[in-house]
Amino acid sequence: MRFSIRSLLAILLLCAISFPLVTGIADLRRDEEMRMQLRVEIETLRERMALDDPQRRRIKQHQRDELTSIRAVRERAERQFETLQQKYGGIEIRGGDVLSLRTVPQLRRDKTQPPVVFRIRVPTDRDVWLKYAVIPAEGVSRSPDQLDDRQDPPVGSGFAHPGHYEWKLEPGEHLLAVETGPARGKVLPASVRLGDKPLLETEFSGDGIPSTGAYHISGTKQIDYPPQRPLPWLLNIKVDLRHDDNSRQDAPFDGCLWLSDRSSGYDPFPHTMVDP
Amino acid sequence: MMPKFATVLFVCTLAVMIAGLGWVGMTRRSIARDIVQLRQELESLHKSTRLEKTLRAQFDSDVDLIASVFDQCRTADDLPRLGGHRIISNADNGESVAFYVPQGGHQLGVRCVWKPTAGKANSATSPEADTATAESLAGESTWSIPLVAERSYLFDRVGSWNVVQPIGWKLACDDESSFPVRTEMLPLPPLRANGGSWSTYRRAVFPNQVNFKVLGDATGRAFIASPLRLAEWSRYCRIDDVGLKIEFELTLTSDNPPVVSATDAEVCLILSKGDRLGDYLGGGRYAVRTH
Repeated sequence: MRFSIRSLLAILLLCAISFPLVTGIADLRRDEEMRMQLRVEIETLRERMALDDPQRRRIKQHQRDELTSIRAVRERAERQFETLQQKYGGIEIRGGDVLSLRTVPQLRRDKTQPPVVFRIRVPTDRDVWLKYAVIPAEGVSRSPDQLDDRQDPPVGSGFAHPGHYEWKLEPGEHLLAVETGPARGKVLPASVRLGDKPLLETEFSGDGIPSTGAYHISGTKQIDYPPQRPLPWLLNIKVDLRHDDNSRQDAPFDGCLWLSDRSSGYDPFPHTMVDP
Repeated sequence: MMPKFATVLFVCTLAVMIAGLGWVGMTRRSIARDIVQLRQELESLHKSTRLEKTLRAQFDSDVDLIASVFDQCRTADDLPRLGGHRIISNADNGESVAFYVPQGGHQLGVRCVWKPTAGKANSATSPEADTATAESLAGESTWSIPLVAERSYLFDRVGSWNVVQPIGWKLACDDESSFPVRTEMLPLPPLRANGGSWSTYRRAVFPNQVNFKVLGDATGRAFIASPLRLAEWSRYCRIDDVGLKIEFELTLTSDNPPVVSATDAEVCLILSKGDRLGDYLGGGRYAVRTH
């Protein structure tokens, strides 16, 4: 069989045109399938959302009323909480040498543990030190006298900052906030702030998912410390570890905060050195 | 001169292929436009679904926050007057229950039941005497207290469970001028609790709110809404070596006709129980046809 050049060119031309045609048809079928898939998805969603049923559509609108009508109630509750915070979170001045403290009520929001906030009034005629140490969870007295004598931070406690730290509090009123969590995987962040100023931003990491509870001095009423009364232990960051088999175990070390009349010669809190 | 067959075939094939190419191109452009529109529609539907989920999560979070405010109230004066159409209550420590009642008539039901628990017999007394003591220690008291609407209340125990003293309860309102404090004592000798158990109850419901299940179960017959359980807890005590269990139950009875939430109203429609739905009452509530 013989082909002339003209025939060959004609066949080549047809082949050249058929190639985009074939791929175009394949793409067309793919696009068509996608369009069908989108239509089915939309139909399913519309059915689920009842967009084509006027009665259900009306009910859906009323569901919004149902869910949003609680907002005004929540706002009233929040306003009342602000009043309660002032009522139960304030302290009265008892004298030039009396330290007073109280916990300030906090709201639990979005299932996260609220910070523990202390209002501390440091008298003008007295030196007051805030101290932090990582201590064994068991067998250590919470007496500030004994805590003051602790030296040599433990190794391998799980806390990123083993301490020990101290900071001399200025006379006047302070808000000391200790916040722990929420855990990020096996890491539990913890921070200590004095007013706006961070004193310590640390974290605990260990063999398990950590969580913690508020374990602190009860300050629902104002507590006063005249010079003859030792200054108090404030709070322990106690960590509870959940293992893969769901068993629970207390971490062997706590982060501990307390107040003292004297310096123990500890380093300053790490973040006080960063701030000017 | 007639064209050759091959030439005609070539020209026709070429024409068909070019036309085909044009059609494919135009159709694809049209489908592409459709796909863009459909994607936009789908995204808008997903957005609505997400909004619905966010609204529900926000509702739960709002109720938690209100309960958290109730937790911070130490006296009835501290309670917020919440407003709205819902009964909101919080009981999570087995000691006190804070709640708000909206417009309408409401009665608080308090039921205390005490009964001996199986325990070791006192060796110093005869078994008959023990049985007699135990029987005399079984009893029940109930109270029904009409409440003033649109007020918050704090139900609390009288005294402490940790020292030996008479047992009772106290109901106080955020507005003492409209509802004086009510105190009642149980007809039991002074005692001290050595344990207890309780469940967490958190409510944010319309008075006499029934769910789709109640409506489904009541198909074809009349019904009334059950009282709303606000809390229940138990305390364990000992009197003369006889163990005693005291159970408390708090319920709220409202006098309005039953209602159903818009969420349950939709389920009713899906389950073909829409004939039970009455008028829309506002705030996400529907009246219910009770018969």
